[in-house]
Amino acid sequence: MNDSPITLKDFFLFDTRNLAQDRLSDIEVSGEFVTLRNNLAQKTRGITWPLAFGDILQGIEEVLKVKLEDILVGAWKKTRELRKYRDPEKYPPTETVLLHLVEHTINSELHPALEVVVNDLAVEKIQLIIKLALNFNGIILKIKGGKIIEILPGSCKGTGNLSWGKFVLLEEQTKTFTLPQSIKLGEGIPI
Amino acid sequence: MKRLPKRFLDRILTGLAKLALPLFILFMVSGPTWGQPAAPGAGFAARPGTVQVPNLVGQNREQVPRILDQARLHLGEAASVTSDQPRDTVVRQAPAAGQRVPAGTPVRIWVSTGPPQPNLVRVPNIIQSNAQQARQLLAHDRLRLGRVSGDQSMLSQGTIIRQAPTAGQQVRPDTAVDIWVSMGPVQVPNVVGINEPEARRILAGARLRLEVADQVQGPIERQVPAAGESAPMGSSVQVWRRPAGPTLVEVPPLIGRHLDEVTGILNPRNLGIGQVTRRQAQEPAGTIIEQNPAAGTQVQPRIKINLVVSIGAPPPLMEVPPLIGRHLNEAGSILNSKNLGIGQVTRRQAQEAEGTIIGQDPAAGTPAQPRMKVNLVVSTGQRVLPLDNKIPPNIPWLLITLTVSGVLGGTYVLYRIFKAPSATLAVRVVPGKVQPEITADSPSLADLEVRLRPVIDQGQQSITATGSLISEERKEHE
Repeated sequence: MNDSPITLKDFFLFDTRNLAQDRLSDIEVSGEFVTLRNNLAQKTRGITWPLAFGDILQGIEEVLKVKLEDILVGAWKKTRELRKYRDPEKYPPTETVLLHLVEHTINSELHPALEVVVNDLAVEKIQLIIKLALNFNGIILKIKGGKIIEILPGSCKGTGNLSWGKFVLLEEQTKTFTLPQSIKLGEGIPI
Repeated sequence: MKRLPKRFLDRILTGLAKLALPLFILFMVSGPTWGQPAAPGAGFAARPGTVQVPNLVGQNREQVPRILDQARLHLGEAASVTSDQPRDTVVRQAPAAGQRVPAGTPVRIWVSTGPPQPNLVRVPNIIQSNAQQARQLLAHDRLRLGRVSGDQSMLSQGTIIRQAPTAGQQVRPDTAVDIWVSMGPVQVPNVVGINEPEARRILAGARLRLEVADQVQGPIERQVPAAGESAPMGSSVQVWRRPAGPTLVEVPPLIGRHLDEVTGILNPRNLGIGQVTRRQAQEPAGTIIEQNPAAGTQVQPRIKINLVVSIGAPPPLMEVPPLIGRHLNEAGSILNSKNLGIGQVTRRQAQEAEGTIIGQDPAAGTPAQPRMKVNLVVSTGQRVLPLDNKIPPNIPWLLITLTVSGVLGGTYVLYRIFKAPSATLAVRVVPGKVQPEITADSPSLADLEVRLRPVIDQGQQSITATGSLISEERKEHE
């Protein structure tokens, strides 16, 4: 069984070989991409960039290395219902609480970017937007000492897309699948 | 009416008197219930005008009025009591059965309300335990294990993943709690490259199911979960197939077409645009100059056609313009207009006014490649000394040399800073960094490091749920 955490790269089944080339070609001949290249040329004192957008997309792999568990825990720990488990008197550190969660949906919007850096000076930013809607059922959270320490498996289905401006670069809609294993969060993530 | 003789009347009365005693004895023996069957046990103790109370215990309360009516009694007060007897069963009566009471006496009864209601017990949470642990937990709470079923889960085999009634419900003791246990994970076999029936057979052997995600016919080209991953036993493996052979399409000729037309040509044939490479060529910009696969090739639908597109012809060769006699300030614009640049600038004292170009390399009229640099010699002008002064014999040559070197060095630095680099960077992207490779002849660009820096964002999240997010809480103590 693979112990590496699930990332957004896994969610989008990201592989540069699978990118829709016709979509990339549309982007490369678009006014937006021409403007980007012109801006870069201006800000880098006339350096000609032979970049195709497909090359830039390879950099997107980096911004997709966000762990899915961080997004999930980030959502759960904000809820008022979970905040009461911070109280060490009601929930002492010697006690582990198993919380069964009802079916719910986590919506998330991320704004990663790729900065073009010339001699450590960022001259242009390629702003991206990732939108996710993940529906969970049967999730159990293990909480101890005011921290979420483990996510026990449940089922999940969801949709997501990654876009640059008006262009949707990646999109994924999953069927219901079972989270492969319990996700241990090490020392735990404070609620 | 004829009167009877007195002697005859006396004889009748005497006869009746003789009969009176036997009749009285007969009356006492037969009992007072004329027209009624004699009660069992009735005997000589029976009193005239009394009836025997029938046994009502064990009878249903609905039958009691009829029984009492037959005994010439009637129903008195009926009280309810808990009892181990079934509900509505008479468990006690007063007067007791067999007593003799005056006819019409009310008979009081006590009716069972059924067995006493037991105390309800709370169903414990047995999820994540195994059946044996669950049996003990349930027995502790006076419950028992019910039906055991298998279900899909990645939890280890035998782990309870669902229970009914659910934890926390109040139920009667000895209620059976049904459980569903995980059938455990299995390793997903590879089904890529084989046809659906065979894949279905392989997956069935691994206790998995096949779910086809498309409508085409052909070998499987992708599967989720991938081979080697774990999946819950009984779960589905989703597969996508590629079209089978007979539906090949012919690649149309695209060379000579404009890039804007290509989508319209390829889409009807169920083909797409692949990688687009741009290259200088004699053809007008946007014209397709190469394609791969070539026109006429039979390919699978949805194949991407890679294209090489002209970005136009290279600029024609220029001649180096004449610059001698011009001012250095003009040289930049003159050379830029011809796609050339200023190279090394050497300053030399001369008769010409300061800034006047007195030499150039290459010479005017020399054929020049685009972006070529032209080295210039510029006059610093003739030093004018006051008439009454002579050049002092002890000229600080060292100071002059340093000053001139500083000016030249500064000029070169300024040139390096403000000149428009004309080199082309071939950029190779690796995760997190773009490493430039300088392909032009300008060494100044070697100082530039260009890279892509990912800026990661954890984002903003929100949760949508109907009602409370938490359905159940269970505590475990160490």
